Amino acid sequence: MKWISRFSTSTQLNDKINRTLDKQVKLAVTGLSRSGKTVFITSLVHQLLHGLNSTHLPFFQIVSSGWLRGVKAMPQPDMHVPSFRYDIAVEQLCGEMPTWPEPTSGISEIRLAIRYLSNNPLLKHVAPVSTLYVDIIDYPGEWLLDLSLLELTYEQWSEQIAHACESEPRLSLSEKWRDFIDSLDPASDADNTTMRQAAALYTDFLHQCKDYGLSLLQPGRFTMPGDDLKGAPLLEFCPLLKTHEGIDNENSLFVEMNKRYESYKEHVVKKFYHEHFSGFDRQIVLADVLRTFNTSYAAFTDMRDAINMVLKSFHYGKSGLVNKLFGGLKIDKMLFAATKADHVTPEQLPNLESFLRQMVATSYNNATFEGVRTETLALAAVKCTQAAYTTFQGEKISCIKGMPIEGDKPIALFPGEIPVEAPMPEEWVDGRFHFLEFKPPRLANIHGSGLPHIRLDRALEFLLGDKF
Amino acid sequence: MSTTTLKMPHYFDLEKVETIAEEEASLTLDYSPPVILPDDAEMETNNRPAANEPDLVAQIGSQSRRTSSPLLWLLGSLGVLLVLMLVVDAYHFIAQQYASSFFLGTLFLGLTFAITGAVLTLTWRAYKNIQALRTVSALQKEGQDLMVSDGYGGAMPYLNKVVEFYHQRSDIKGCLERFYVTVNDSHHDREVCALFSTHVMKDMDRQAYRVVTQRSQETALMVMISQIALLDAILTLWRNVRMIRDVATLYGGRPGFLGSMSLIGSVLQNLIYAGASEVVADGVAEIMGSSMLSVMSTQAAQGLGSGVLTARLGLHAIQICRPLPFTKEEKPRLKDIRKEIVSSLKGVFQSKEAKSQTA
Repeated sequence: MKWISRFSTSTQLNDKINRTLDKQVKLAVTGLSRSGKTVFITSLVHQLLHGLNSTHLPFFQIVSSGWLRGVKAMPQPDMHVPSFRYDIAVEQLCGEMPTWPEPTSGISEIRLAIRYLSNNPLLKHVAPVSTLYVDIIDYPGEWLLDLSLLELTYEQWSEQIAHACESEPRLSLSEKWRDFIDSLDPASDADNTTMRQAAALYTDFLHQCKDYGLSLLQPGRFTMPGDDLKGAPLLEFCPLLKTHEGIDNENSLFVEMNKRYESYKEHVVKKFYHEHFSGFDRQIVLADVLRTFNTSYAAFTDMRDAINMVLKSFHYGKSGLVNKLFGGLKIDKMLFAATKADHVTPEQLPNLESFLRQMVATSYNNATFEGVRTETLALAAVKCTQAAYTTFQGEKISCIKGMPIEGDKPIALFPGEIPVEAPMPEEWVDGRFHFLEFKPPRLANIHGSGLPHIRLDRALEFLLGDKF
Repeated sequence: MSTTTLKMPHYFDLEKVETIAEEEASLTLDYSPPVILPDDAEMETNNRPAANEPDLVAQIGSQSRRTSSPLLWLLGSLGVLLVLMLVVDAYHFIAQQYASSFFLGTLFLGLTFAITGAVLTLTWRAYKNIQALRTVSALQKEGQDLMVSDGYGGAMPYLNKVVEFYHQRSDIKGCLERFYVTVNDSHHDREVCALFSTHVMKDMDRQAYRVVTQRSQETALMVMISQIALLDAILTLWRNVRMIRDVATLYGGRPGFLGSMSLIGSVLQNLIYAGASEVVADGVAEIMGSSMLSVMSTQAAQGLGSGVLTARLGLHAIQICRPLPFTKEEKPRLKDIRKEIVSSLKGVFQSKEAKSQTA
């Protein structure tokens, strides 16, 4: 090894060696509706950019051990993917009057170069300073749910949707669309206007579901069209509720819908997996569990199903359908994170984590079986409340203090206890949970050190720690 | 009924809420989390047994220690008899001296007082030492409980006690400040303890590790060089006692003679009760390591053996003297020390060979 280091004293050669030994990791960030992806990525980039000599990432080894030599944002490698606008987001989050950044729809990417002192006994002498390139890719979680469509024919999928619409809250939310669909005859000739109308009504229905707090929304591109798909015929279809056997009309509504469904699968779903998903190394899935607590039992079960479907997609990816189609999936670590952990009192965090763990318990097994290391964590990308305590009815109890999203006076509240196990539907009484949205904190030293957070460092350690 | 209202979300009057300011949190957070009773008592019974297990073991341990009380009685009464005899004898002796000459009587009286004073101060110091050791083991137990449970709010009062234990040390002040900046109100007990471990204790750990490595290397070398078995034993014993005292001094307790005796006692006890698996693992490593060296020389193998033993003793001493228990990853490992001993022994061989070659 000595002769190499003697050689590498010339800076040019040193540079060359460094470059060949650089590592790269693609970190995919996704989340089910409004889970705070943009805030998460903004905070993550902010933390890393302010990581040098800092005290805010104590559980991220590379930072706390002092091996870090700086982090810089770099031009992204994939020119065809939109950039993640960190500059805009951070301006909103760290401005004079901080606001939450605008949510993104569709895929975006940002590249960070992390330079660090190598601790590898072999490489230490060859290349003392190494660089890890982290490509953070942000895409809507709904797109991930589409993978399950690959296994379903149009009839099967329609049946599934019809079944889901038999119970509340989808029953009432889908009323308009169902009325319209019921008036159509699947065997009649397809008409572009009717189909467009049906698709529009179905999209409205999905949007309403999303507003209600449901997560399992298929097809994902209807609510999150992403790149220039808006108005394309392959987005103008919807499931048919009536039985449609024995239709031999070549131009019938059913046949046309079926065609579009298949082309959606072919050109949207498969394309996404082929172009992006198969290249990811690490995946973090964010979920806003607290919002479902606020909403209803139905929203909770819906999110559970959606999360399990996401986990299942890794099963497909490793040994199932996608693997056969496109070759092996690279993902070897996945993190499930319950975001907005600052909205609960700190001693409830373990409860939140164990709740999430139980939620994904069955699919966890599958992912682990396929060799994907899986972990659950409760985190807050930007901590906007403070832990406090007060005396209530003679007892000292813990609460949180923060600025609510509506209003300009800080409040203190105890938002309710997180159950360790999923409560029964009848235990889901009104007013049991009251998780408020808070404004981002106003901080004086925002450009001097990283944003306040909860357990973001542990997430980083799990996702990237072994790459150094 | 208050529990049902507690479980529901609730707004509070801002005036009455005390925030845990992040800088202050380190010092004033002396509160235990509110007892929010679960809905059904079943859940409580589900969680309890696991949490209680370590306590049960501790109880059994303390009971078995008390079984030797008749022996204590015997020893105690013998001690009292001895002291009384001494007092009476001294009294008679001094009275006799006074009877013969005032000057001699005063001299012996002064001497007796001096001796008594010295003995009393020594005893007091020894008592203090032992007390400090007890504090350490109490702190260790508390820390262990904190680190296995998923609690919140209990770590700071505990760590304040640990800090108090070190109040006269100026070298940890900087680390302590850094720790207080790092820790915030969302960290859990386990995390806070881990942070304290990495931020504050790390320097001490490194020094202690260096002491143990050095002493074991010395022992290994001495045993290797010396030809007389009795000398080996004495050397090893001397180095070991020295090492244990050094480690204890490093971690805050400054043991006197009695204190270090009891410390050595507990280190040995710890060594004896070390898990069988650990012994097996160490033993295998030792045999493999020494077989490699024994090819070169039996004496070197002997040296390595006693060096490894010293290192093992030293690691146990560290474990006993450190007020905060180690986390799994931090625990110093015998393997690393063994490597260093082997390399130092090899270094001696190589330099010898080089010398003989040049000669």
